[in-house]
Amino acid sequence: MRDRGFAVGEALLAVAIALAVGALFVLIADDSPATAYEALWTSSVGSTNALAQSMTTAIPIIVVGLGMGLAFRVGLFNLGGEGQMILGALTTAVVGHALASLPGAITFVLAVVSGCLAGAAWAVLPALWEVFLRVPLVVTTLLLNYVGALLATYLAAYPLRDESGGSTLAQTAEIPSALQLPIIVPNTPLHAGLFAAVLAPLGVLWLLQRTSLGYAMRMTGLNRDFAETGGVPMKRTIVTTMALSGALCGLAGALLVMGQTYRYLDDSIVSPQTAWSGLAASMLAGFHPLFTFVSGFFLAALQTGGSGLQLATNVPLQLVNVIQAVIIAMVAVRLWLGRRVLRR
Amino acid sequence: MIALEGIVKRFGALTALDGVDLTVERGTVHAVVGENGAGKTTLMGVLGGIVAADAGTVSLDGEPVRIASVEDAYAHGIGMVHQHFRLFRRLTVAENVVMGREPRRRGGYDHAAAEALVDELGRAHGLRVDPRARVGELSVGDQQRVELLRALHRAADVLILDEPTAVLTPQEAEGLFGVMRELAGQGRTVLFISHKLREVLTVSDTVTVLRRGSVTGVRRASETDERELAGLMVGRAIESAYQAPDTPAGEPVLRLEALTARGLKPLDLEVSAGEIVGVAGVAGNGQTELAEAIAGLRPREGGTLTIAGRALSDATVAQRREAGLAHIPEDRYARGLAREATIAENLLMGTHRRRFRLDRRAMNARARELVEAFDVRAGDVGDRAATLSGGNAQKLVIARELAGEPAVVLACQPTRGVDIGAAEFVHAQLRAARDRGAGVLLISADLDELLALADRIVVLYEGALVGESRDEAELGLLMAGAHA
Amino acid sequence: MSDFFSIFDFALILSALRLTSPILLAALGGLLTDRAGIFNIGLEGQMLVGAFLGFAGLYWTGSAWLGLLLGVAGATALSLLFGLWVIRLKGDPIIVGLAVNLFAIGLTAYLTLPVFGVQGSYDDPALEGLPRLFGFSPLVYLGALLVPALWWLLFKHPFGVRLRAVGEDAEAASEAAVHPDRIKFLACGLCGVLCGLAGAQLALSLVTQWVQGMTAGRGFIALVAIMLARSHPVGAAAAALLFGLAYAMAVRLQGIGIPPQFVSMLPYVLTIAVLVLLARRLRNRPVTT
Repeated sequence: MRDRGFAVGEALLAVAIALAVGALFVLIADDSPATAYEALWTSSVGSTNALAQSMTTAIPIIVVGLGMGLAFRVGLFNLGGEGQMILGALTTAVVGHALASLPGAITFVLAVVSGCLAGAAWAVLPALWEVFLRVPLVVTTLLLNYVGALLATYLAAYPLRDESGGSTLAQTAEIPSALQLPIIVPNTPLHAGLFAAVLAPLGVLWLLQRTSLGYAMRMTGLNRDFAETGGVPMKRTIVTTMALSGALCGLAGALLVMGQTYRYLDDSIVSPQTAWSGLAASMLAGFHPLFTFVSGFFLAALQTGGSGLQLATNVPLQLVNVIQAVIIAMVAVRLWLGRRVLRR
Repeated sequence: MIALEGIVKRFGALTALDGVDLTVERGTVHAVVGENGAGKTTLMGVLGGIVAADAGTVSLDGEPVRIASVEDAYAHGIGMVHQHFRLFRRLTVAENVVMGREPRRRGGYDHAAAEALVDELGRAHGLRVDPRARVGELSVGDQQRVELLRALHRAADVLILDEPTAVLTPQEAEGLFGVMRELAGQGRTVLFISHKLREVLTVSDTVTVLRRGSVTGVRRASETDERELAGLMVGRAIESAYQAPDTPAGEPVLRLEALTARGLKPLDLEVSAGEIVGVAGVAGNGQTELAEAIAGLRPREGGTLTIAGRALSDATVAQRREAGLAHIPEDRYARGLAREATIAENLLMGTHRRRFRLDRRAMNARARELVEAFDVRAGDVGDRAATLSGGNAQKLVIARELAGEPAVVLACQPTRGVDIGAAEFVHAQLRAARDRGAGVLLISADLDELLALADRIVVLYEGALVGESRDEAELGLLMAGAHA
Repeated sequence: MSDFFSIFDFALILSALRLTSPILLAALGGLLTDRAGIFNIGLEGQMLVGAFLGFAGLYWTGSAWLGLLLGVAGATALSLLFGLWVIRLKGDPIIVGLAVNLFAIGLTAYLTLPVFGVQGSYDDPALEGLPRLFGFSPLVYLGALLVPALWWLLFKHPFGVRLRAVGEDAEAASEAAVHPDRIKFLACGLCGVLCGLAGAQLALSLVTQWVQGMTAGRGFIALVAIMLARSHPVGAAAAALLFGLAYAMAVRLQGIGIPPQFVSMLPYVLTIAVLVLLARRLRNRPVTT
């Protein structure tokens, strides 16, 4: 039997190989891997502030990773986490701003809920196409990423643009303070969204392991025909799963807005590859919600370290994107990898 | 002369072949007979380069040879025709036959030459098929001809046919026997796997009988009879004498009235409480479609379906199960269970909906009870179902489906590919279900199983129910499409 | 409204043909892997590497042709790597394809600084892209010629028949003494070559510059063209032409004052719309899930 320790071994092996490939790339950029990784370490976890910064970055990564991972566990390749997250972020920012006159708590709830719903809607659309028209969800979710990103950019640049400040960036107006998540470690960016990043994995774990819906979802992921024969309603399960998956991705966007940017800021999600980091984290964790917290933090630390890396050396921060891609590639062949290297 | 000596093959704990010797004269038709699971196909796989033997030697005309792959087998003139065709349905007949050794002209594929070749080959062996037809559009009999043509084209000396008549009507089978005799007459060797003794005696020169991985006898066809071969095959009296129920059948619990679905003609069928109704038929005549239509996995196109008195024509799978339908699917690994889920999780399926919260402790406790009651040999209920052997996996499915004392049991090929012990267990469970008042619809390709279990037997032919009988000869006629 | 109709003229058609070319080339490559039974979402990444290395080759050597060669080599290497992961190491093609795409994005963004000395984009007016013959780059003509060529290869050459056989049932093909892995690798290799050409058309002809992420989903649009055409070269060409027209219209609509972000959605929205409206065509598709 494949035990948990073995799975952890495989994950660590994937990370080790990815870091080794990363070292090769540092050499291409004409720098010393040792210096680069030292800079990476220092600026990601080397100080309280760096640690807090990494944890802050991890919040949306963990939540979006849970969302995409949830769909993957049910056998649905939801590659649209990016678009779903963007829609969630934009909606939360816009609704929060529009409802600023309402009592803070109501604004808060409505803004968060609408962000989740926007993400869910962007995921349910391809689910419905898949279920009723058999259009492969993999492709439509990917294409909807571009539509979502361009739509948000357009809205932030034209109809919803923040006219108050003198910013040249495309961005929406600032959300009311009632919506801005409080900082929980003074003098760092770490905000109360951390609680969401802790509770969400527990919630997903509870859903999957302790509810009949989660049971039906997991069985669908393991063998769809088996679940169908046992009476699991396939169409409903697929749509529900995608709705939950998209809602989590939307929540990730909402957390980004409420905890970090305080507005929808154009290209705050696509370039940092937040959604893809989330998926990589989820895969690295074998789609286990609690391990996703750990791997999500790891990838966020890489991300944070990447910025410090670029400052300290002449190694571009996109090194972390390369490392992340290699991690996904290694995880894709984890069974082969495990057999070859860990089991002699 | 083809000789296999001391062939041993183990799959895990199971010894499929235990030192088998087989000698075949060239220019003869040689049958290898035995029950399901006796090792016939494994033995032929060794000769055909598909199965690597753990011990033993293969020699051709006195020369020891090594056959490690299908290509090796072809190089030695040995070709195998599988029970399940290995054809490319989207390619033409000619493209299938010459695959791997295509004729070329001006750098391209010479379709004309390929088609001429197939035409000629077909004419020489009495296997006429349109070389330009797409294989997916051919009848099963014609597809088998394509398989034969392909084997003949690649390797002309030794042909291995694995249960070639399983999917054929008697007329098609007759034609095939003619071809086999003719091939032997031309000096080729035909190895023929079957468990149908009558056809074995009709077509072959020599018969080798296998039982549980060992040879129990070699006979000349002219010097033996069905009774002797059956004795060699079975070895012990199988439990399967038909046992009538103690009480007469009750009210109908499953009723199909002109029910149709894709692949099915309008069907009328009733199964009453306390009876087992068997559905016989050559594989591929609508068995899967019928099961799916009843289970709710295939949309209805017309007619009505009633389960335990409730009209459920368009009900979901879950609604049908709630009404008292149990479904033992024909392929346990495809639909019957999830290999990567735990045994307990597999046993929960279908009853998991009772409340939103899932009580894992109750799930595991119930799983332990079922494993015990249905004699599933398993380590722990937390182990993955993939760790179970075939027979135990089937017991797991049976346990889950029969535990709730369903009113209707839909059992599809319930003993396919399981060992005799497990098969007997399955039979006993189905009888017990009947005796406590369930209506059982047993769909099986194994006529002996049906005769042993079923109180009534109906026949499915080309998607329609064509008659009812308990007489073996009459059933055979019905299965062939000769309306009674 | 009259502004809108003013964009439909001869120049639009010429522009559409140019913009069709990268999609067509990638689609022709992808349909080879699709016919071999591999669902290949990595087209996007292979194109991106082709574009990056194509332009880098031009930057280093001053020759667009050498750039083209380098781009093709890079995309082919990446495609073979994809093949290695999927065919030999048995990785899930969708996940490996995703890794290919993310690797390509990371790789090209990372190398932009060491290669060009700047971050993001690089442009040098002194660099000359591929020559034009009657207004089109040679790759536009090549793409058009490859449509019948691939049709011939698929249906009139033993390789194509074997490729289709492997895509339908690799195990049965291996019993017919056809080596499925070899055929799949060949398909991947050819796919890489074509994606490299597609990328080169982007960075050496449509524009002559490097822009981070410049493929912008064209690989996925090519994938849709393959699906709509059920992997038939002629159908793929028709679908690619439709999407090329959408790109051309997007460019022209920007010209008449509609915000670029808004019109840029056009090709993606059109692709999804066509996919959904023609969903019936996708049923019983030959390969992929």
